[in-house]
Amino acid sequence: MKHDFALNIHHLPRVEGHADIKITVRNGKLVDARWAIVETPRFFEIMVKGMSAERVPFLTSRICGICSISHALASIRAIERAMSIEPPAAAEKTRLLAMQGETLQSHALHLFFLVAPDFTGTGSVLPMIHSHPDLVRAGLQLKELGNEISSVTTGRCTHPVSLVVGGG
Amino acid sequence: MMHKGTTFEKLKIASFDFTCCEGCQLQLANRESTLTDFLDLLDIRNFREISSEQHNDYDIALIEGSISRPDEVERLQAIRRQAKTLVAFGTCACFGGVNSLKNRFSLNELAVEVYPGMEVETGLVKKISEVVKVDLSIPGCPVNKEEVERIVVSLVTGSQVTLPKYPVCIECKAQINTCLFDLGEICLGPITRAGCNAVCTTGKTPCLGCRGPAEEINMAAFLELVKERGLSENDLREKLAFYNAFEGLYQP
Repeated sequence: MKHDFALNIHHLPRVEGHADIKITVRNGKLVDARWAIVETPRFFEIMVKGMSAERVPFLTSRICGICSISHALASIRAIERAMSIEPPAAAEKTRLLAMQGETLQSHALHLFFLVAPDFTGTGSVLPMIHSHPDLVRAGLQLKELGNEISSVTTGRCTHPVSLVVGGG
Repeated sequence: MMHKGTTFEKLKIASFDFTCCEGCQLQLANRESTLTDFLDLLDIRNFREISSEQHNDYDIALIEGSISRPDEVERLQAIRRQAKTLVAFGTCACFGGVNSLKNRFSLNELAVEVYPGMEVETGLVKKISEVVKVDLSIPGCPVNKEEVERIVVSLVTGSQVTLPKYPVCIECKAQINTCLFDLGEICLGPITRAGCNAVCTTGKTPCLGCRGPAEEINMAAFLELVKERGLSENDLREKLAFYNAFEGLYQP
């Protein structure tokens, strides 16, 4: 069967960040399929210019509220390598633990809050609080554990306060 | 919804994000232990990040992020027409936030240096109140969920919404922290609005003022303190500019 259709989704829901999807089919044949990242550019690369090295991780964490620890740690690593700083072993371990906490939180959020509604046939996680209470509870407990690990290791679960250049 | 014999209406609420990191929205899903009680107070009508169901009959709109592109201005104005209460949600919405740091550079310089050969649309970063009328501001980078819970309860019960008027130092002292000035650091705690439970200074990181100025701050005395301790003026400038929250209160 030959089909003509165009699909335009503006600001795709249940994803972190902003994306549009555009699909065009003519005579049953795909002629265009686009995934556009329509996030407003923020220019962190230039914001760090002239900033004190010690302040940079507090800025770069603000790239993303969901994976702020990763962004803080990436800039800390870059600065330490540039300055030939060897962080103490305890700092390395704390940073690794902080990363694991963030991964746990982020994956639980993605799986139980953003993806699960596709499997339960609901528009969001909200009706699942009543229709699938065990699933929601499991997701919340995992997320809480991830956040707790991040808080203990970095002082706060979003936008860490105690990850610093040189460790300590 | 009944509570202790009184009936309350759930808040018909929506959450929208602009130029931001989405960290403030994420706080709505944190504090998992109280989350189901918190959600019981809300009728979420539109919240793209967590729901495919979008309705435009909300009363309260939470606005996260600052404004940096013409399409954002239009989107924000449409939300303003619908919302009875428009809330600047988080530091970017209230003050421009870290996004404002790019305003020091020319738009051409930004595009060429960061995205060479690509067409990038961007403009000067604005806080929400530069574009539409704001009814309520909840500062913080990110917002403090405990405070958000308290404000939501105030809105549900129709009582007055308040923020602490005193500075971060009060909360910092209650944590029995050593003053960072005594450790040779400039800390914006003395001039910044409390409500964060001094989370940064408790982690030994100087306050960068994400919650903006406390009420009736004595800026002259604060600047004098920095001078008296012989601390760096560059460091002071960098800290005050970090969230753009002290705009107009300090001229180097």
